[in-house]
Amino acid sequence: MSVFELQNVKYCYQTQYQRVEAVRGISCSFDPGKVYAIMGASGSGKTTLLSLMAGLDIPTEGKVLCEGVSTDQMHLEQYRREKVAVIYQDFRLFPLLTVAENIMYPMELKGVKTKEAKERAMGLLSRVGLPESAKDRFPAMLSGGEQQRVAIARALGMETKVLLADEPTGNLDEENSEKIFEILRHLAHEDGYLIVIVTHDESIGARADVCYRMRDGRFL
Amino acid sequence: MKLFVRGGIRSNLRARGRSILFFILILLLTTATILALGVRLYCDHVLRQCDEQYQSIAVVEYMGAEYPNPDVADTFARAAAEQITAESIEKVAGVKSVTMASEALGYLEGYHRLSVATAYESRGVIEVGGWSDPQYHKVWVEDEGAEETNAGHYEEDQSEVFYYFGRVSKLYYGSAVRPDVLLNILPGTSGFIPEKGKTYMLHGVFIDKNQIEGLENGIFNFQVLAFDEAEGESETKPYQEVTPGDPLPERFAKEVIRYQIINNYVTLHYAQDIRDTYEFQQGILYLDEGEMPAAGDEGACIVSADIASQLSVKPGDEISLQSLISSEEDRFDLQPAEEKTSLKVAGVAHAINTYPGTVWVIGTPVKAPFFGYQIATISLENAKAVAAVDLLQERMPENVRVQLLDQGYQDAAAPFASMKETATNILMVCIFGSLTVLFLFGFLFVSRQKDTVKTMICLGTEKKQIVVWLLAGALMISGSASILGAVLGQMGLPRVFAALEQMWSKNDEILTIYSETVLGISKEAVLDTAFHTGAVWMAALFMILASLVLCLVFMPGAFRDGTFDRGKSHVRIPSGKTSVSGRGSLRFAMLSIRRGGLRSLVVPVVSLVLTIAVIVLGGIFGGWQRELDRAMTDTKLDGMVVSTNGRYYSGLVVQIDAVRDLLAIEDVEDVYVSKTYPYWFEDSIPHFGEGSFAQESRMDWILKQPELVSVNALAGSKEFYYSEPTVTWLDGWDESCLAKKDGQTYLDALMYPQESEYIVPAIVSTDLLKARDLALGDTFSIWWLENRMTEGFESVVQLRVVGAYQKVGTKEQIYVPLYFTTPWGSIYENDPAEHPMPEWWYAASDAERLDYYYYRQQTFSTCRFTLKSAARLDEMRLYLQDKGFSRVGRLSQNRTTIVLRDAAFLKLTETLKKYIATGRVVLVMISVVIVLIGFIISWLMIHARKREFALMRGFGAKMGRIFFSFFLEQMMLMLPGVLLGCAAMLFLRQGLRMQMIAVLGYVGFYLLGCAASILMTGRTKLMELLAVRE
Repeated sequence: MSVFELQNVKYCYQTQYQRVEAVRGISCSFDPGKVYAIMGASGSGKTTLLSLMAGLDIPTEGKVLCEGVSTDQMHLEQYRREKVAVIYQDFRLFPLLTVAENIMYPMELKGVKTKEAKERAMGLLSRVGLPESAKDRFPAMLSGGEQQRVAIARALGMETKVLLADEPTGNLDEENSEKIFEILRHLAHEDGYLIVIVTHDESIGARADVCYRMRDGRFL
Repeated sequence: MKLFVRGGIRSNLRARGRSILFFILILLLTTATILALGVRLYCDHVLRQCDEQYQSIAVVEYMGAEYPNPDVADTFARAAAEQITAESIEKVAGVKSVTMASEALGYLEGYHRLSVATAYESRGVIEVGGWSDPQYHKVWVEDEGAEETNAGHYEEDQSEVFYYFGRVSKLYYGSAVRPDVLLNILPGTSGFIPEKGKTYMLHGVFIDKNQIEGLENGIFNFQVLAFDEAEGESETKPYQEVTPGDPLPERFAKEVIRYQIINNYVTLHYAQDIRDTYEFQQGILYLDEGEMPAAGDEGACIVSADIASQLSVKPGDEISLQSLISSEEDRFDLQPAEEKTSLKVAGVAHAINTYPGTVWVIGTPVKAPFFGYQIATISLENAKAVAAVDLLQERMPENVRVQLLDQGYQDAAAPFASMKETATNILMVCIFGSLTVLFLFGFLFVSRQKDTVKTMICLGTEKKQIVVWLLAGALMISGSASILGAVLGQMGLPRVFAALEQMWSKNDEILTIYSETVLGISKEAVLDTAFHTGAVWMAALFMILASLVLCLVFMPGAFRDGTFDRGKSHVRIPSGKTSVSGRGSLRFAMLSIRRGGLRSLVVPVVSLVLTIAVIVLGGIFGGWQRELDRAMTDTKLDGMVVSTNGRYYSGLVVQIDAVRDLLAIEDVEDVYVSKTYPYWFEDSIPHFGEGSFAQESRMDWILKQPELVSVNALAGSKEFYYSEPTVTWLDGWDESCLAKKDGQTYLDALMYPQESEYIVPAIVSTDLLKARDLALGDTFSIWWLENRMTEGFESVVQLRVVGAYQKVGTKEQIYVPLYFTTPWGSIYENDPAEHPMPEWWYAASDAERLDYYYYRQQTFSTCRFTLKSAARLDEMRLYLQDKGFSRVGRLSQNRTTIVLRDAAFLKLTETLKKYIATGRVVLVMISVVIVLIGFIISWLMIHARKREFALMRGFGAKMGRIFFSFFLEQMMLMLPGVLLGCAAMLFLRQGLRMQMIAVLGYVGFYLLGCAASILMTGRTKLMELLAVRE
């Protein structure tokens, strides 16, 4: 059964001066255990699509169904907290929280005790290939690849089985990009995560299980 | 929830620079706010105590010719009084209550007025019988043919009866004798001839023993006297035969009642609050028994000690009072009002001779003709008293003075009022500064936390949890800083209070000694300086609440665009050409300005506004300073010798030495003195007859006559203290004739008669000229009475009318030069101390002896002086103090009391000094604000271009070049605004120097701020700069 299903999803940015149709009727489904890549040039609407899947907003038309329930029927905050995890190109880590605290944040948000959250954070750190010594560092003290791993670890800490990544390697060098992708692929294939990656990196698209290409808000 | 509180706090604790900066700012502002609030509350506390301990009143008085005589029917005073209404006074802010013309007369049955001369003191209504034969005047008849000289004998002149002996069978009215005593009854011109064996009722006057020439039998005399003229009663004879035991005939009974009432009148003082009457407010009187009735307690009264003792009245008793209405012309021509008022005695005043038979009543006075000069007494709120009196004085008719008597409240309260005002200003600045800082705080710590909010939203954090996160972080900073600031402030307050108390105890009196602003008694306030500072915690609470509110205000900003990156970053493309000419730093600066677009307008606009602001403020402050300098040098003050209570300035005894001391002051320009003598026309004096009684009556009449005033300027005469004289002069004459230095005194003229007649120039009222059919240039004679060496001399003097003035009083005063009585040299030259009497006395001429013994021992009845400028006023006060001149209410070894009329000057200079002091604080604050504005604007502009800054450094540009580029840019942006602002100077030409300083200060401070911000940015590590995202 598909975890995600998009039914004729449309989305418009309406500003005071203009209306931009970023997504123009996309329908598709996403199954667990696979890595999906959504590729397209800048402005093709791929990040908007990911944002709709992440529950940052609801489509202007159509539906985003998660486990058969439309996001417009759900409490979006709860949806974001319990159903999906997102990693971003710019990592979006709390600059003034340590690595461990950043990873613990979603766990504590769900009510996990601090001690347990800390232990789990340590596990996640090693799972994404970061040394234990990194736990007390601030994000600014880490390289881009390391920050993105922290972001992945934090996403894993949410225990959602769905991981959406917006240009996760955009700010990384080739070696780090490879490492990150490997982590994500491992999560899909070994742990059954649904991974959706928005990227314009052809190599990722080539290695993804499924690759959708977008132009002008539509899948090609 | 703990997670969010902890997260928010941790985030802010770790953002050290920003957090520490705002922590310190909030801490300092809280401390300053608490100190300012504490001082303000402390001053309030002290001022409240002062307010409880002092009472302010104002006395409204017409400064008439016979001021302060309360019994005069002065038409000018009445006209002025009619123009003043209680309603118009009550409208003035600070006035609590008004009592108009508060002095009236009344009658208390059983009260007998003692020890004070009354209008009909010696009158009597008596029943007399037991008549002797008529007694005739005896005349000395020389014996005819006697060889001895002076040989002769007395013979009776039977042409006129001199007196009869009679025995008083009943005394209806009269204080001189008792029943059964023998009297000499003088029928005079009444036509009274008693028949032996009959009893008569007589109306007349008692004349003291031995007061009538030719009567040496040592018993009292009673002259039968016609009744005072009254309509339809002038025909009633002053004697009537009666049968002993019959009721008193009606006309006699009427007169008995009238005398009893009039001679035993009581003085009534009406007020809404008896504490506000002059005598109680000034501490002349206090209560011996009972309590002061509450204000407005209608019908309650205080009685003088003699009333209480005579009528055996105690607090709580009731007395029945009958008002007496004077006739228009005579205060003591009284008619009892029909109604009697019952008053409840609340207290008894202590025994004092100056207030015999007086009742102080709470209530509205009865309507009666206005006598004297005291028009109203106003009860005032202490704090508003000065302003109220100033306003009232402006609204008063000419010659009416509003005299504030505040028991020294201003002296005690002024430092605290001033401190309170300063503290309030500082408090306002602190509150404004706090709100500004907290506004920035809310913006930076909440609104600018978009990234954090965005991340949290992406991770599914609920809005309220995000709010808790942000608030916890922000309130941790503001709350801890506020509480610590409050603790520091609380610790500092006792020291500040101690400093204030020290300042209060050292309250410098120099400014107000001899000033008219401190008339009346001066009480020392007993202050309870213990002060609970708990209320100042409100300031900490305010800071926390304000930060909370402002954080909440900025909260929506944090969430705005938080869920979506709506659209891309806005890249603005400048219109027109994008390249400019020039080289190096200049080109870069100009490019930056062009590229900045609207943002580049911020600096010139701000500069324009601030330049105009500093120019205007500089102009205002400069204007104040100039005004103060002008006031100090150009103000001509005058001073005067007054009575010890400070309210009266005539009828004084001003020693010539005191006048000399005043003249010795360098800044004293003129000293005006006057001497007054009663004068009369030969045809106006009634015939008083012979004998000492007649002479006494004659002297009484003379003393009531208008005055011949010997004065060196009209301003020196009491009539013109409060109003300018209007004089028409004879051609070739002016006021300088009064101050002529070489004029001959009347005594010199008497001792050394000249060939020409001794004629003195005189300034006479137009009314007198009309009445005497005189004109300018005419000569006329008057009689005048001079008390020379304790002896009275009546002389005739010829006067020539050289000026005619418009009368301002009840009397036809005549003004003659000072030299008429006092040679110029006796005041202005030759210190008598240099000429000790024994060495030259025997060789001295009569003129020298006169000069020494008479002229140099003279006294004056008024003395007034003017000062060239007020520049050395404080030195003048100290000089007066050194010379031992008395101050109002404080007698020194020199018993001449001086008052300087400096109220308006002090008010002006105090206000200007306060403005200038405030201006200085404002200038400092503006300077700080300018530095901050310069810093913030340039910091914001440079901060936004950190990457640019980094790139320049990355390419190896020297720090000096980078600094110069940015600095030049800021200067180029600022200068147009400054230059435009300077154009405003064309319209504000005054105070250019001050304005130039202000503008240069602005430019300097602004560039200082710019330089600081550029240097701070330059100190940041290059790696960090490069890491900054645009």
